[in-house]
Order: sequence, then structure tokens, then C-alpha cells
Amino acid sequence: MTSIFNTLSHYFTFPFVRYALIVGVLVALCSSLLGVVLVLKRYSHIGDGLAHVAFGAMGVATALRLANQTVLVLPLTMACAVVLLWNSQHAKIKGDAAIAMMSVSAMAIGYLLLNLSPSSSNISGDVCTTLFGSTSILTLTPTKVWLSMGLSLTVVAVFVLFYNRIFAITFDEGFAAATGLNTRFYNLLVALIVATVVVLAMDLVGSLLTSALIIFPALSVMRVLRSFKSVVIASVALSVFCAALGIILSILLGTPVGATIVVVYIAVFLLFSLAGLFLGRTRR
Amino acid sequence: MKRLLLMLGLALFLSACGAGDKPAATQAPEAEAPAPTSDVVQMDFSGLNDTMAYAQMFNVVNNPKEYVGTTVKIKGTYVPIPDPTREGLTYHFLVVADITACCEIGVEFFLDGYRYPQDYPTQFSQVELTGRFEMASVGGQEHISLKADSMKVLKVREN
Repeated sequence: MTSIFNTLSHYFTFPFVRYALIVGVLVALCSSLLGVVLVLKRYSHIGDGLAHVAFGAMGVATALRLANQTVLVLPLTMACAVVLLWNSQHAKIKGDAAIAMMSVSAMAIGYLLLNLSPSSSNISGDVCTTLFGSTSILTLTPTKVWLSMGLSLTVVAVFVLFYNRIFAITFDEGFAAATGLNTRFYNLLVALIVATVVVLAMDLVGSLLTSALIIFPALSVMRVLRSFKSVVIASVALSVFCAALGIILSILLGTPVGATIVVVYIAVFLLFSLAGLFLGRTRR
Repeated sequence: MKRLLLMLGLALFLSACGAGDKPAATQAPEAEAPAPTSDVVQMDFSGLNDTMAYAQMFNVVNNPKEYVGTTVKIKGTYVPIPDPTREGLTYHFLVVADITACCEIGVEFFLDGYRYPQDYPTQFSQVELTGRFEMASVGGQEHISLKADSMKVLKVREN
């Protein structure tokens, strides 16, 4: 036990480990906030779709040799999020078909561009890092850390500021519109923060595992809690705990960070599912 | 109330999981606990696991000026690369990879008094180098390199 603490305290002397924990916790916080809204609106799959779009955008940014890829990846992902979420009711191709089409197209274009115009000789390494995170959270530059912190705090601020409106469009968009709420604007806002969270989460777990950060905390907590507010608060706490535990375990065991975090989320989901079953039985 | 108590119970149980009661979680760090740094070696990579060693090496290569002059001990894969334009000239690299070996990063090293190929192991052998980071210049471009004092072959790769 002492040796674990000694090893951990030694590892925390490295700045990149501290950066990873700060950004990891903030990303987990943002994604879980949004997860509750997306799960309840039955848009769980959108995180996955947008993460694929972000992969494609990263391929474009690599081909263009951009030093800071976020300046292109974020706006492109936001644009696709707006098309999928905001304009979905008026689009000819709707729902899961639109998400599937956009995600596979972006993946194909991204992979093609990475091969045609690689940033390094290790293309498989670049693809592996983008898809599964690998060690990207441990190789953040201070600029990226500040950018992630700024974006995360913006997402939290928007969610807190518009909590009541987001609550309204989550449960009954039609009723919210009938009461005079500008639902199109708030859907646009949700779309923009979903895109921001997806781009942030890519550094933590990679684009293929981003959905886990969004859906698992909400789904786990919904096994035992019912009210919107309690689910939001508990899923934030749970997500932050799981992300921190996942990062620490991966550092101690030398395992891939993204996959370790997601496995922690899965274990917690199973635990909460059991608790939910237990609660259901005792109520009868 | 029951839900609240259950949530509290789950939180406590999860904290216990994180405390490392699994044998694998406790054994791995003990086996890989960083060796105490001596006066000579300021940064010991050899005690870090693969993921941590890769991340630290990435930081060294991307922030070279912060590490110039630092004495280090590093484990990795030996990769010789012959210069296609100058016959007989070979560059020697130490490649550090993460646990999945999908991310890898290399640093050029120089060993005084070693002749290639007789004094070097076969390519892709596992070696441990002790030395000091220095800046080297190739074609006017500066990059960090390792001025090694010694090389220990850990595992020879059979050709």
C-alpha cells in the first residue's frame, strides 16, 4: 500500500500527470452534465457520431499541417452537430440514418487524408492515438491544457446558466415551444456544447470511446435515482470519480488510459445496475 | 432515504476498489517502483512503466531546452539507421514505446569509443542507456540527443 502511494507521489511530480488529471476530471465533468440530456432526449448515439466527425476533421487538420488542430476540429464538429441536432426536424435524412451517414463519411475521409498526407512516418500510431486516445492525455501541451480548461468551464457555465431551459427542452420540447421558449436556439446551444465536449473528450479516451464518457455516468445513476437534478449531480460526481480512478489506475498499471477509464465506467454501471435491481425488489 | 444510503454505500465500495486491493494492482507498481535517483542520474526512466516512459520521453523531445544537461537512464529498443547519402555512416536511435507500442518516440544517441556494428547489439534489441541530454544539429535543425556514457544490453533480438 505504501509503495503504491510512493509510486503515485513520484508520478505526480511529473507535470504531464498533473495536466492529465486536471483535464481528465474537467472533461468527465462536462460530458456527464450533457450525458443526462442526451440520454433522456434519446440522442445517446450522437456522441459517437460526432466523435467520428471529429476524427475526420483531425485528418483534414493533419493534411493541412495545422499546429493547433483544435482550431479546425472544433468548428467542423460544431457545424455537424448543428446539422444533426438543430436542423434534424427539417432535414430530409433524419435521426440515426443521418448520424450513421455522417460518421462513416467522416471516418473514411479522415483515414484517407491521414494516409495521403501523414504528419509522421507512424500512420498507424497517429490513427491509434486518435481512435483510442492511447497516451494523448499524458502528452498535453500547456496551451492545450489551458484551452481544455477554458472550454470545460464554458460548457459548465452554459449548462448552469440555462439549466431550466435545457431541462424544459429535454423533457417536452413541444410544450416548451408552446410556452414561448425559443427551442431552436436552445437546441443549437446543446448541439454546440455536445460538439465541444466530444472534441475535448477525444484527448482523454479517443474518438471511438468518447460515447462512454457521455452515456455511462447518466445511465449508471439512472439505475438508482429518478429526479433530473439528482441524476445530474450524481452523474457528475460519479463521472469525475471514475475518470480520476481510471487515470490513476492506468498510470500505476501502465495500461492505455482511455480503455482503462471506460472499463472503470463499465464496472460502475454493472454495480449500479445491481443496486437498481436490489432497490426494485425491496420496493415490491 | 434508502436511495441516498445506497449511493453512499456504493461510493464507499468504489473507493475501496480504488485503494488497490487487487493483487495485480499492488504487485505491478511494486515491481516497477522507480529506482532511487543517484547523484549521477537525475532522471531515471528505467523505473517507469512503458506508458509513463513514453509520455516522459514525448515531453523531453517536445520541450528539449528544459532537459538539456540532464543526466538520465533510459530503457528502449535499439534502432540503427544507415545514412543513405553517406556510405558507412549509421545513426543510432533509442525508441521508447507505450504499452500498446502504437505510440513510439525515438532519440538519437552517441557513444564514444563504440564501433558499428561490432560493439552494438542487433537491431530491435532492448538496451538501457545512461548519459546526458544534449542538443545536436542536423542540416541546421536542432534536436535533442543523448550523449551516452554506457549501454547495457538487456535482451538481444535474434535475427
